[in-house]
Amino acid sequence: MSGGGAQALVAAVCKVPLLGEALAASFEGIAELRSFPGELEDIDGLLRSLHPDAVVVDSRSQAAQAEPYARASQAPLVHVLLREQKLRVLRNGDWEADDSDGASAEAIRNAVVAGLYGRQPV
Amino acid sequence: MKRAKILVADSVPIFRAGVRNLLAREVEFEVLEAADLFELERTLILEDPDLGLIDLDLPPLGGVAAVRKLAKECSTQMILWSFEPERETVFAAVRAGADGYLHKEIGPQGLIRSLRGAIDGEAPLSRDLASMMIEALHALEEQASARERAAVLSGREREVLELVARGARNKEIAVELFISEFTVKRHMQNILQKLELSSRRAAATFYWAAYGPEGVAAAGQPA
Repeated sequence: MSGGGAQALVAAVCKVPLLGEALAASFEGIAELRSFPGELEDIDGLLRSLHPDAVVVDSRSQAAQAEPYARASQAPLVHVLLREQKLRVLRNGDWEADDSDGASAEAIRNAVVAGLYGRQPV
Repeated sequence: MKRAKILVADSVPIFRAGVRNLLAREVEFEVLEAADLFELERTLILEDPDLGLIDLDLPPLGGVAAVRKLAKECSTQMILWSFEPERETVFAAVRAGADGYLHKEIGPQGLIRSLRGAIDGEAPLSRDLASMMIEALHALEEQASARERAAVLSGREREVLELVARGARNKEIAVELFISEFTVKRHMQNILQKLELSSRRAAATFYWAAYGPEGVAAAGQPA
């Protein structure tokens, strides 16, 4: 993780700010969550300067903007489809549907954690 | 200090969690939750919350129907919320008895401000939704005025007007109404004269302004 042994840093770039609020509690003790407004123009620039270990977004356009960073840094990228109550996760270069547990805060946390562990060298 | 009870009625857990986590930091609020109409009704009876934040898509019948059912039965202020609401939806919510309407994209501080305002008796409605409401009121006034004008038409003339508005040609109208094409033309002349309109297209526009897609029958005017 970033900082050698420190908690992982997760960036939540949300058009629906309450998503960030919902995630805060579920990541407590697991990762440091930082929320950013979804209206940011340069999401790629933000991610490159922040260098988070994982990224959560809640719109297709943000997912597209965050994808280059996620691919380059191999950071898991979780796209929350709030209306459909589904998740899709960019894992190992491919988008995968993750509907194991809807789109609850816990499901999002689990998808992020699975992505983080999945990229660790064994 | 008495804490204001806020009931979040939303089938989507993440929204309930978002509001719960947000308001947990504010000492003046206590959060209750409901995932559907049944739980909403039960919580209203048991807890008598000060304010209900109700999702437009609340199962099983939706938030507007829920508010319509419950607004008369309890003193809880009801605020609906949804993604990108349409003008008609906001208007229908307020007509059903909602005390306000919020975007689900609202920021944390905005939501807290709105809830505090609502507790103090304000009607939470963002600027764009307030504009929508005014537009909806104007549209309703225009519709009422157009329907008043349309009252001079006979039932048959209204039938002809409806078919014209739906794009039918005279020949098709004649077949539909079992009358001659000549009679259709005569009805059309009468319609334009009575409504002081200049063209068939203007008559069609007038029809949509007066009756919309629901049509004459839904407006309760005899066809």
